[in-house]
Amino acid sequence: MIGKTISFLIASLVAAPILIILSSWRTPMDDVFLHLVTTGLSDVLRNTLWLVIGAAVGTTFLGVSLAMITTTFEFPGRSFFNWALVLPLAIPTYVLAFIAIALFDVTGPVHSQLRAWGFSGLPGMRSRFGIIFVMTMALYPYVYLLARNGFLSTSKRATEVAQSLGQTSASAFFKVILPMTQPMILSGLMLVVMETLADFGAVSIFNYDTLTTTLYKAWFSMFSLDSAAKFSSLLIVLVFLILWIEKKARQRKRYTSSEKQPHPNPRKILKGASRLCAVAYCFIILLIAFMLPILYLLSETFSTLKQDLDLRYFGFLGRSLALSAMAAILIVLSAWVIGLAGRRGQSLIVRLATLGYALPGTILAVGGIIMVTFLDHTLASLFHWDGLFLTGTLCAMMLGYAARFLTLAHNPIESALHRITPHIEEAARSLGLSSFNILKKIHFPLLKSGVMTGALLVFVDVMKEMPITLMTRPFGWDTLAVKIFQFTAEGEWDRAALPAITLVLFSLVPVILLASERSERRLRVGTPTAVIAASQATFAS
Amino acid sequence: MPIIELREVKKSYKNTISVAVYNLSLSVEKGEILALLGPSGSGKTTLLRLIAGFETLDAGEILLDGRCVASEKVHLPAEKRGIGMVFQDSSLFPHLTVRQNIAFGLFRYNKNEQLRKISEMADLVGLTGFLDRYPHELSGGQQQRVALARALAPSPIVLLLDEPFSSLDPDMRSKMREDVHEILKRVGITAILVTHDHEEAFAMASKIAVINAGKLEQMDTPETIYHLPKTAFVADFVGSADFIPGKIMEDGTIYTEIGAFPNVTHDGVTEAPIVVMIRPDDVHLIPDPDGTASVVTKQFRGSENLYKVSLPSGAIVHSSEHSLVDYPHGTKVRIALTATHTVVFSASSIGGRG
Repeated sequence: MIGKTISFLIASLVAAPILIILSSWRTPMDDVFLHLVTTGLSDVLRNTLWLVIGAAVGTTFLGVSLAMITTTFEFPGRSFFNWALVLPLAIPTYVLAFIAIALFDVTGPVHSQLRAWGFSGLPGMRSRFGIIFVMTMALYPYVYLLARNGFLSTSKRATEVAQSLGQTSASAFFKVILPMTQPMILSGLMLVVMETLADFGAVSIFNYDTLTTTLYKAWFSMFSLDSAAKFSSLLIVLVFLILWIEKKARQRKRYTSSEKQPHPNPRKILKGASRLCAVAYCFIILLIAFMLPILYLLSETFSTLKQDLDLRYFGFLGRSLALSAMAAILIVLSAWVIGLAGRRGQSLIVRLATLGYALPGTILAVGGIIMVTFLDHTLASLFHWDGLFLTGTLCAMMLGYAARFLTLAHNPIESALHRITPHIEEAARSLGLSSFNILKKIHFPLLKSGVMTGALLVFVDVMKEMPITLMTRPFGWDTLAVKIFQFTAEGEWDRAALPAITLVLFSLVPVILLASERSERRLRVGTPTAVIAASQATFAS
Repeated sequence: MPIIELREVKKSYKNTISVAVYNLSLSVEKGEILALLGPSGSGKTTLLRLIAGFETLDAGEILLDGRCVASEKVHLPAEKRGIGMVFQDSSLFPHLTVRQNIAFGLFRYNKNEQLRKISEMADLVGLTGFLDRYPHELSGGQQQRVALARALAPSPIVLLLDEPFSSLDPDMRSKMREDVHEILKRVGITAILVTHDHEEAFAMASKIAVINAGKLEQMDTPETIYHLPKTAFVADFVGSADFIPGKIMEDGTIYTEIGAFPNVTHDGVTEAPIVVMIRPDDVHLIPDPDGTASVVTKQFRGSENLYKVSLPSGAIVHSSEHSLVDYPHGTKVRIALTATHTVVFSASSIGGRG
């Protein structure tokens, strides 16, 4: 009973910001909103749409082609590329964005060199094409990973059946394997679309106006939280629309084979020109999306190291770590409570709690602030306090983090809880154990890995997180991510390199773990993308 | 004094209209193996869980070894009842070895006692070399043996088994039945087994309680249940049965289309019209070109053939004959009865069965 109330409370707290945002339409539109709407909402919407479509097309093409090559063919370096192609996920989009601008924009080294050679008047990076390119490079691993696992888990049996019915192995791929992997590719695509819609850092650096930047502008430049809320609700509608489309597309078909352990297809050895092409293709992508950026960051870090590696830097690092740790503990505990509620069949609570993952951080920040303000005023009038109690604390920030990242912790914990069937608990009771001992001897050891995975995921994602932190942080709580935003806003690309490389190093930990998982079966227990994809599935169903 | 006693136990679930267990009373003596036999949804598992303490009852009483563990006012939780439980899916603790699983309930014993018990149990179930394996490294049958060892280790008053063999392959199942039956007899423990398989009940139990829709239809030895079923439901559930209309003659014999039955040995039925229960093994076919019955279909069953025979009235009866002889479709036959018991029901009680 207590558990049910607590879990319901947590779920409502986490879902409340969204409802609050939607209710912003009850108040009339103010000047700021009208101004923003009339001076370019259509452009903003068009920008957003183009970006999403461009990123979707780009990542699908890249991700699926790379996955197909690495799973179907054998060539030198294949097993290296198989996992290395996931590495770009360790670089946050806003970091890749500023590196791209620093290197390839009109004032950067590449253009300067080209001008020295006589090529002037070439287009800069800050264009629609540019941002789409950066998004594609940053996000293709989502599609790649899911497509790869999809192809691997499509069994030899399916290909053999197709061949017995007259298909060559090539046409079998396109007629059987690719369609069977469609839902996984779609999940990866959904991730890309969500991340693109939610993106705030990269588009800011590119001065590319989308809904998220308009939102930010309404609040921080024009001081209208209400307008920010209204724009947020537009974004929410878009997000729900996309999720609904995806759900409809997936509806009645079943895609998994009934085999318990499908045998993978044997790989075809490439020779000659095609072998060279395969290696070159994989190498070039890895170069652009991962190796060059890392090299840039390292070189810039070395040059600014003396100046910037001081107490202030460690202060920022310390704050990033502290926030991440706090969030990880809070969120993992909440996810455990929610998981227990979900196991007892209270799926509504679970649904509420995992709602926030699909929403951009900017929205959750707005919702969090409004909610905290509301709570403060209510508490003040209820208890006759002077002044505000919750505003100015980390409350809104933690709320935003919880709304956005609860799903990350929930999924591995839920998977682990699944292993503790009601019968196992009853067996333990029949052998004389009290409830406390059951928690200690059964729950704790069996949940450990799920809890660790969840904590790791939340920790790293909170470290990288920028919009929520930027918009809700109390005075003096700058994190590494915030510093990157501030430096890039001033065009100080070189100084952004040190915090950026720090973040990348932290992100590499879960990404490497993720990349080295090979079979889909292992992937199901809690690694990030499966987690995210599963969470999308949970939300969309 | 019975080890387990149920008095007028009643339980219903809140979100369903029907009652799960209805005024059920039974008792089990020390060392008996009782099978709760019934179709899915009949309430047998609910009953088991009530005895275990995982469910609370609405009315009635449950006594274990003379002590009241459940009533309208009292509910002793499962961990205090001293019962052992084996589930359908073994439910072994996946993070512990076989040894640790078996030792799990032995926390009240001292170190030496624990070690002794563990090897005793492992020996009993035939898994002595497997103590350091993990559950996922064992076959289904081996997992169930570990579950049995784990449940028996703390010497419970009663062992409860909830369809323990239904997740095993058929050939594994019959071997396990034999082995487990022997183990239970050797230990001498009182046990209650829930099953929907009447063959299993016959093989393992010394008493069978047939449960239907929450009610106890009959509780008797397996032989009595099979040969002298009290209700048509029981008759049909524990083996194939046909029911032929019959007429009671003045001298007490019952005249039917296929022959006359001796004096009624099964009382309680007075209202006409009546039907007589016959089993395929009671019905013998004698090929006769002048015979009035004819073979409709034949089903090969290994050692015997099961024939479907149509009678002149249109009624169907089944006959089980040794498979060395083969009567093809259309063979004209005469029927010879070898019934030793006469089981009679009122015709109205046959109709309503699903």
